[in-house]
Amino acid sequence: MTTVAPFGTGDRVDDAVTDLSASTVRRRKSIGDVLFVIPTWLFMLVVGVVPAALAVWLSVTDQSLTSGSGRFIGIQNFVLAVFTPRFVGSLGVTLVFVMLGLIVQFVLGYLLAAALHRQLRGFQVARTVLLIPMLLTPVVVGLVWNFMFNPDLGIIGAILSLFGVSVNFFANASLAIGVIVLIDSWMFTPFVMLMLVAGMTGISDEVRQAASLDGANWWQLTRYIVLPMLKPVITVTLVVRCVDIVRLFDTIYTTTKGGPGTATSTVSLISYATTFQYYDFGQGAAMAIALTVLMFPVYFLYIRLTKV
Amino acid sequence: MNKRGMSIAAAGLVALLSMSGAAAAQDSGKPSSLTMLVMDSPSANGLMALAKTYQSKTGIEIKFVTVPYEQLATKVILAAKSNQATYDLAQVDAGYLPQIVTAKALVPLDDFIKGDKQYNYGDFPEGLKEYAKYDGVSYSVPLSTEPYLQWYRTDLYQKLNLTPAKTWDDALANAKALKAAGDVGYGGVYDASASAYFYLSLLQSSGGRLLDPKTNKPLLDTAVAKTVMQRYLELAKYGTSGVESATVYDAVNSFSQLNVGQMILASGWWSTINDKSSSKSAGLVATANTPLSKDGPYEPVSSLFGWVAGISSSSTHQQAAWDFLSWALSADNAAAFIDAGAPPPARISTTSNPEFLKKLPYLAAAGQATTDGLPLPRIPELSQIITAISQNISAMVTGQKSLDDGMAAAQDAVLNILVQSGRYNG
Repeated sequence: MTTVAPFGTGDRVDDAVTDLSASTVRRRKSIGDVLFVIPTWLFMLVVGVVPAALAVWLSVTDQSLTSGSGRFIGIQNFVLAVFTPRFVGSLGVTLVFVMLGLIVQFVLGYLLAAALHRQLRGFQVARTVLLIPMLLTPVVVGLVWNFMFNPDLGIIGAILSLFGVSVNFFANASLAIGVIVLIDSWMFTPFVMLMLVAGMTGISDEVRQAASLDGANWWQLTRYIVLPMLKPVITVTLVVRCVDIVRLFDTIYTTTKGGPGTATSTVSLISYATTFQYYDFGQGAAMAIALTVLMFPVYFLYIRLTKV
Repeated sequence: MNKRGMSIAAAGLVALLSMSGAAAAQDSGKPSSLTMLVMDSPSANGLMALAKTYQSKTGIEIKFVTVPYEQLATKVILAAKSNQATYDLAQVDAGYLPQIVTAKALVPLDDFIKGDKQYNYGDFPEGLKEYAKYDGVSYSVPLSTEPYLQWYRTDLYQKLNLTPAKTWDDALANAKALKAAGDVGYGGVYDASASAYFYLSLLQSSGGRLLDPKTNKPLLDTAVAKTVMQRYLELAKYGTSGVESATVYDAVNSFSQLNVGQMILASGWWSTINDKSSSKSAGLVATANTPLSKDGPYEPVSSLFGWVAGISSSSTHQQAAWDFLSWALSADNAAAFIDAGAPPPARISTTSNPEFLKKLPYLAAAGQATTDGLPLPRIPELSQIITAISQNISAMVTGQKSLDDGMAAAQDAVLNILVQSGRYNG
């Protein structure tokens, strides 16, 4: 579009008009961009921000499903439910599960990934079979393993009895924790394996070959070449698994229910019981908020690593 | 959207909301269907069998929504709290009745019961009527009555010349004899979530109580509570290899599949344990009253458990819902319940009927338990208390805590729960 200049300054007027048009276009484009993003914002607001805000509000009220008026009571729920030996104990149990789970799943996942990466005959079938546990529902997996470990009627007890061994895995704190870690690892080691295999395919064969030519053995290759190059993948994988294990619930609920005693009672388990068995939404929310705050460093690490 | 458009949309929304509110509030007379929330159980099977007959009689279809046990009370409460007429009727574990009633999720039934000749409430023992009440108001009616009874294997008892235990010392002696003969002496429940039901049942049958009936003070620090716990832990030594972590389902499986000589269990398991297609013990079991011992200051009594049925406060068809309950749970339908493999409501006329006693021999013991039995304390905090005690039982039986430490921790936990809820301020 051109405009006739009334006072012999046509070029500048034309430039101004052109600039104006450009800024209008930019503004319109910007509004258009915002309109495209609004549905996502709304979605995040409804499923993320509002429930989180509601949980924070519940944690400072006396809201209960059976009684309570929902009035503001300050930090009373935190005092009664979070700053207690029960919560601290369950936090300790949760951390034990996180540490053991990460170690077992990483070691097994790495070994499986290294084996698959060599692409020996039948590796595709092996990969598919290894992925099956990850596709199963945790509740079903928990119930099946629970029955397998039943000392009187389970197959594991029957096999052990052939060797004259009689063990009740759920009556010993260490063994019960071991069983939970075993079940969780059986389900999610394939995830770790999958991530690491994907990372390994990104490492150039030339680097490996050069190291081999220099006389590096398998351990040296792993220690000085593969693991350092996989570091970003390993960190993201472990962070994801860490968050998942902190939320571990189904497996425990269907096997030990927190026992023996409170040996496998995690924060998720007591938070569930407080909210949905005792209907104390305020204290349940306080526990959930406390756990979320404690997990902030892990979340920040994840965000930083994935540069979201 | 222009102003006019927005005004029309807003007016439409308001009208829609008003209409839905009105629809939820009004009782639209005879419904074409009613919805009942149930758990997969013999009692629910009995109701389902009767529902077909009811539909052919009245044209009203009874739809059943089956949920896991853990979700039953939550669903009933949520439906009422959200004021959604999701369910008209609900099957409820009587132990959870106080929680549900406190949430105002069930309607009082006294007006319905009064003068309903078909239902004939006078046919129930007083103790059982109390069991369906909270704070003196009937919020439910008995669906199944499942007192804890002494179960024993007739073949093993005959082989060893044993008789059902009258006292807890007898039970312990029987357990020893059974174990010495290579059988399992006692099928117990010792897990970290529900074993307290069994311990507290033993406590009540030994002259102890969980709470002081007058003040609600926890009584787990008393001599009788410790004596009974010691006995309960002693019985575990005669159990299966997995007894220390056994849930009630594990215990029932063991009793069905292995040579377990005796156990304490709710009478409602009768059809499961006598199911010839899945139970090796089918036809080999009998029941007797819970052993009683006078070890404490209170009267030794058996413990009452069972299902009750109520009407949701959000139901828009409360009269129709009562009509179904009144008909289904009437004395005339006791035979249909039994034929469906369900424990019938323990009416006096049912538990004393020779024909029914022939079909369900446990009814005699159940009938007696309903007249002199006692439920666990009827307070909303009971599920929290059960978990706290169960965790300590589990810790004691697995050697994590000594008897004294475990009982002290249990007493402390129960005390905290009651003080926090304001039920005890001692």
